Amino acid sequence: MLNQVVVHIILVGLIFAVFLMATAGKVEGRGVKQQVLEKQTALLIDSAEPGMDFIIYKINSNGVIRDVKIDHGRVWIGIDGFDSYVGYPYFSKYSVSVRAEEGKFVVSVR
Amino acid sequence: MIYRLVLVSIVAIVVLGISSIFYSHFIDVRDAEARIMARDVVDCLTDDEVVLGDSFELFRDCGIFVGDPERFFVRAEMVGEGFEFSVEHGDSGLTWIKDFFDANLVSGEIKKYNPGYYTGDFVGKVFVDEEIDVSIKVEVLVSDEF
Repeated sequence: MLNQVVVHIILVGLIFAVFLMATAGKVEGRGVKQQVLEKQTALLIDSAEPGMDFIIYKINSNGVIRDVKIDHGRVWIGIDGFDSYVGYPYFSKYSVSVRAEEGKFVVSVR
Repeated sequence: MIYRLVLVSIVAIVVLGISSIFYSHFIDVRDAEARIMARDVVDCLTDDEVVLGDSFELFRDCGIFVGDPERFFVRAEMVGEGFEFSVEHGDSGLTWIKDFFDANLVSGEIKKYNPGYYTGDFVGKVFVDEEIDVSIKVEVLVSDEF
């Protein structure tokens, strides 16, 4: 009987831990911050002229940026351990690439 | 025991679902995209190196790489002295959706499906035997992103 109660408490605790972690992510607005960064970056690429570079600092007002990818016509930004699953599409007449440097990502339009 | 666990799980899922709706926020940049696309289209149509003709295909011949081309409807009409040219890309049916939203028939969350839109008049020059001044009317519609 006692074992059953202990197992019960552990399982309920696990469910609430998952619930709290998921809610914490939402409350911190990581998804919204990621959306802001992806859309800002896509608009910058849309309006950039060849020869332009722009920098996205890893320590950003929107959080700690782990990864910036340009792939399949979309911008993907991983922020605060929150991966991007959708990305945001951009359009450009030019070649777009991104490289990681110390403390920043550099997006180049050529 | 199973009964209680199922109950706790259902409560957790309901609270998670409500919080995900409550805390989500949609940022709409499609009007800005439409404006930038219109500028790119005008730049292309007035470019001396671009040949305007029956086989002209907007994104291909302008070299505009679009990650998701079906999001866009673009219409451009050029008129000058003895010169007319028009080109379209995409599904003109999207303009119906725009008209539907403009008629204020919807409210609330559905409004985020309202397409981004820009229309503008520009002037430029094209070269047909000689340089001609043209006026260019551009309409760009960016459909939803969901």
